[in-house]
Amino acid sequence: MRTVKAAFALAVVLASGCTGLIGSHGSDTQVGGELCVQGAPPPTTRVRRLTKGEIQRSTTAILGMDTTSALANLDADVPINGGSGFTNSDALVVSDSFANGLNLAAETIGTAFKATVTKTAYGSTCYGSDSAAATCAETFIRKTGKLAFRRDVTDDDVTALDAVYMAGRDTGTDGDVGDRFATGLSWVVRAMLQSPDFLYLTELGDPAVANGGKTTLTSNEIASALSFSVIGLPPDDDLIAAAAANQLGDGDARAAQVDRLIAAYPDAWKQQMRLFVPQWLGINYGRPEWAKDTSALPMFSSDLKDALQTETQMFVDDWATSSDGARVDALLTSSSTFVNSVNAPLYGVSVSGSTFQKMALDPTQRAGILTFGGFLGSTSHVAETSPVMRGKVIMQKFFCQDPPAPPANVPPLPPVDQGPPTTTRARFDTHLASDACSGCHKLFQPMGDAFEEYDAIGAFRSEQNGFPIDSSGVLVGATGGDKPVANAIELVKLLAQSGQTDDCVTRQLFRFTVGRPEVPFDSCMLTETAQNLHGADLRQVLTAIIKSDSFVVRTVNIQ
Amino acid sequence: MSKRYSDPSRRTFLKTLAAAGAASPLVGLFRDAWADVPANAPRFVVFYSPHGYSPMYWKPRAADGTSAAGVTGWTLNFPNSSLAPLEKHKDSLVLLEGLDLSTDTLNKDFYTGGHNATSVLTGWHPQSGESTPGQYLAKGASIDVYLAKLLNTTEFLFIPTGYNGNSNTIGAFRADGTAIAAEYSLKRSLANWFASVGTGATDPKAAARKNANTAVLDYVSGGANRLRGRLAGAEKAKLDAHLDALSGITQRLNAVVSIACAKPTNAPDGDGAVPSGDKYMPIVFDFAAELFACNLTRVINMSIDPVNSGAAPWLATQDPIFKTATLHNDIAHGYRPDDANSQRLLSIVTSFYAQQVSYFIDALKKIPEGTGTVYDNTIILWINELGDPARHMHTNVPFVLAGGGGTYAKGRYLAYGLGIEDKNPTDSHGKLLTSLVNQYGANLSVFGDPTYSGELPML
Repeated sequence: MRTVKAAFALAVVLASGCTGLIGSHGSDTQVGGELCVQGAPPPTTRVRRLTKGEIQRSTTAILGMDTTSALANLDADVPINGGSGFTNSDALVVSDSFANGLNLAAETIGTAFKATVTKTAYGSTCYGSDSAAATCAETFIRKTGKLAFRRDVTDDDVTALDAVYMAGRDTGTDGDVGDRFATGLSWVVRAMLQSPDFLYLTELGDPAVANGGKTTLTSNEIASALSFSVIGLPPDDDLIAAAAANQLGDGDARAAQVDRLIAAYPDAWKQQMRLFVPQWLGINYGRPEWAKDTSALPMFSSDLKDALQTETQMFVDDWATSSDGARVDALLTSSSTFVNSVNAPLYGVSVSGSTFQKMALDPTQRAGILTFGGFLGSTSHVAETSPVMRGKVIMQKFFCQDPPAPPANVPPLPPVDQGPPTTTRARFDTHLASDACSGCHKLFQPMGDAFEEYDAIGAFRSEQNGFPIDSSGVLVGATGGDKPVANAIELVKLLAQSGQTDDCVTRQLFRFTVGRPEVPFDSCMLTETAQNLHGADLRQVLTAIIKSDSFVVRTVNIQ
Repeated sequence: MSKRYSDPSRRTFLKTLAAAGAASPLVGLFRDAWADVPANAPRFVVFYSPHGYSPMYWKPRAADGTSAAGVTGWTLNFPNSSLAPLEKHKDSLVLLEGLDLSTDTLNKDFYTGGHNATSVLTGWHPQSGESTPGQYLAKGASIDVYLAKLLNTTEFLFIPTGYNGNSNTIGAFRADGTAIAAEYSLKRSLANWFASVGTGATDPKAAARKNANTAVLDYVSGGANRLRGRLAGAEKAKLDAHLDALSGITQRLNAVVSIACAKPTNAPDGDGAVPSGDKYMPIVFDFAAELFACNLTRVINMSIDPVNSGAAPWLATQDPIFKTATLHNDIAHGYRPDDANSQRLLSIVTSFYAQQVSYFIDALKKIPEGTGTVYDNTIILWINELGDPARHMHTNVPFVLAGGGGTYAKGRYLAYGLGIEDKNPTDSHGKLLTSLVNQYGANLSVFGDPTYSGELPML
C-alpha cells in the first residue's frame, strides 16, 4: 500500500536544516505515527474572507451590474504563502488597506447603483412620500440582503440597515423623495458590501453546540462553501433550494451538486481551474521576474508575455473541459498548446494572425504545461534561468515539501571564479559543490537542471554562450530511489506517472478547495482519494473532498 | 521583575512626558527635544531597506576621510561611502554599528535562517504559526504599532513593491503577533487619507455625509463584533484586525486636518505601472511628508526598497552590473567581507537608500512647526534585517537614527561589539527598541524579549 507522507515529512526536513539527516525529500520514513490518522478531531470552526475575484463576481450577481472597474483598486488576489498557498485562503484578513479599498469601492458601486433606482424599476409608490419610500427600502433590504448574506435576512438585520438608510437618504436632495430614496438605497448597498455577513464565508455550524463539541455546517454555509469552491460564485437557486430542503448534509447530494454546477456553469468552472492550475504550479505573470531583460532575451516583449498568458488560459480551459476529464497526466504531457503569430516563434512554429489555434508541438521538445513559456518564464530570473527556482517549484508542487530557508550564519562560500561563467548551470553548480549549500540544494536543484534546455522565457536551446547545454538531471526522492533523467521531457513523464504526484496534487486541490492546509482529520480521505487517482480526472478529487466530512464537520472553538 | 507593556494610554504618555521634561538631566549635546512639543508631535518613522551592509564603506571616517571615526567629528564624505547622501544631515544622526538582533538563531522551537524581518521591529524571535509552515509570526507588537497606539494615531504602512506576486508584509505586527499588511497604492492612499483635505468650499451636505458614513461604519463594526463573539484564537484575531481597520477609517473620518497642507497631486496606482524606483521613491516620500504636514498620522512605517528582487538599472551609471543584477540575489549574495569590490557594489545599493532617506529629511525640514520644523519633532529609525547579507547574519546589523526628536545626543557614531560571533546581550538591538519607546514616554524596562532587557548603553 502506498503511503501519503508529504505534509508530515516536512517537519523533519525543517528540523534537520538539511544537515544530511535527510537524504532525499521523498524518503519513505514515516514521521509522526500513522499517515492516515484515525480519530483525529475535525478542524475548528472558522471564517474565510472572500477573495477580490469572489467579491467582484458576487457583487455583479447581487446588483446586476458590472463592478469590475469599481473594485479595480482593491488589494489584488495573491497566493497566501504559508496559508493554503492559494488565493482563496482562510489566512485572508480585512487589513487596513483592504478595508480602505473596499470602503472606496463600495462608494463607487453605491453611486453607480443609485443611477439604476428608478420609478419604473421600484414602482411609483416608493416615490410618494419618505415613509412610503422607507417601506420600499425595507423590501429592498430583505431581498438584496438575502443575496448578499447568502441567508435569510433577520429583523435585526433590517433594523440595522434601516438606520443606514435613514442616515443615507439625508445626503440626498432635500425635499426630493425620489432622490432621497435612491440615495438611501445606495448607502444600504455601501453598507452591505462591507458587511462581515457578505465578506466572510462562515463555517460555524450550530450555535447551540458547546465549545469543543462537533458540529456540522448549516445548510446555508454548506451551499455557500460548495458553490464558491466549485465555480467561485454565490449559490444559485437550485443550491439555495437544496439548502432550504436540508439536503446538503448528505455527501452524495453534495457530489451531485458538484457535477451539476460544473455542467451548468462551464465558464465559471474554467475560471476556477484558471486560478488553480497556475497557482499550483507557480505560473504567475505578475512576478517581477517577468520584466525580462530584452538584451539577454531579444525575443521577449510585453506582447509575448500577454500572448503566453492567453496561451496558459486557453490551455487550461481546454484541459479542464476535455471530454476525457481534467486528467493530471494530460496536463503534464500534452504536447499541444495554443499559439498565434506572437508566441508561435517561441515554440519554433509559424502561425499568422492574432487568433490563437491549437497546435501540436515537437514532442521531443515539449510535453505538458511545465515545458511551456508560462511556467518556464515564471521560474526564471529576468535575464537567465534559475535551476534553483525551477527545482524548488518541482519539490513544492509535486512532492508538497518546502526546502528550509537558507540557514543563518552559514560559513562563506569559496571565492567566485574571476572568469565569465560558461553556462547558467555551471554557475549554479557552485551550490552543489559547496558543503554548506549542497545539503539542501541537492534536494531540488538537480530537478531544475533538467529544464536547462529552455531559456528564461521558455525558448528551446541547445547551447549557451557557445557551450553545449547539459540538461541531465535527477528526479530526487522518487519512489524506489532517485531517478536520473536526460531532460525535462523525461522528468515530467515520470512525474505524470508518479503516485507521489497523485498524493501531492490531491493535497493541492484540497487546499485550493477548502482554503486551508490539510490537518490529520483530513488524512485518511486524502490518502484514499490519491490512491484512486492514478493521473486521472481531478474532478473526482474535487467531488471526494466535497463529499467528505472534511468539508462539513468542525470542532466548535469559541474560547 | 521586568515591566512588560500592555495597552499604553495617552494619559500615561503625557504624564511620563511631563516628568521627563521636568527632570531632564541633560547637559552639553543633550537636550530635551520634546520640551516644547507641538500638539501633533512627536512623530516616529521607520524606514526598512534590505540587503545588509558593507562595513568598509558604511562606517563613518575621521575628518581626514581615511582614519577610523571617533564618536563625534566624523565625516561620511569619502569614496564609495554608503551614507554620503546623509553627510548634510549628520548633526542630527546617530549611527549604530555592531548591534545584534534580539533573536536566538539556535532556537530549536522554530528554526529561522532567513531574513528575519520579524525580529527587527518586535525584539522577539519569530514564532511559527501552527498550521502555517514558513509563515513568520511575531510574539508581540512591533515598535511602530506600539507607538501608534501610544500616540493615539493611525499608522501609515506602505511598501512600494506591494503585491508583485509577493506578500505585502513589512515587519509590522499586532500585539498578538500577527502580521499587518501594508498599503502599496499611492492612488488608493490618496483617496483614503486625504479625503478630508478639501478645497475649502462649503459643502452643505458634509455633515449628513459624515453621519451616513458613521452609520455605515457602526453597522459594519456591529456585524464584525457579533461574528467575533463566535470565534476564538486566530479566527477571532481576524475580526480584531477587521475592527482595527474600521477604527482607522473612523479616525480619519473624524480627523481635524491642518489647513497648512496640500493634497498630493502625484499618486500612482501600485497595481499599475509606476515610475522606476529612483523616480518613484521621491513621490512616495512627498506623499508621506504631506501626511505629517496635514496632521493625518504621527507614525509611518515604510519600505524604501522600490524593486524587491528586481534590478535597479538607474544604478548602472555607477556600475554596469546594475543593468541586470537583482539587488537581492546578485549583489547581496555576492558580498564577501574580504572582497572590496563586493563591498563597493553593496555600498552603491545602500547609498541609494541613504539618498532616499536624505530626501525625506529634506522634505520634513521644509514643513514649519512651532519654532522649527516637523523634522525637529520626529525620530526616524532606518532599519535593515541583516548584517552580512550573503550569510544571512543576524549579528552586526546597522541602524541609523535621524531626526531632531528624542533626548539623546545627535551627531554620534556608536560602535558596539563588532565580532562576527559576538552574541553579547549587551549589544542586542532590543535595547535600542526599549530606549526608543521610552523616548516617547513608555517607561518600559524592556520592549520585546526580556532576555535583552534594559536601555541601550551609550545612546
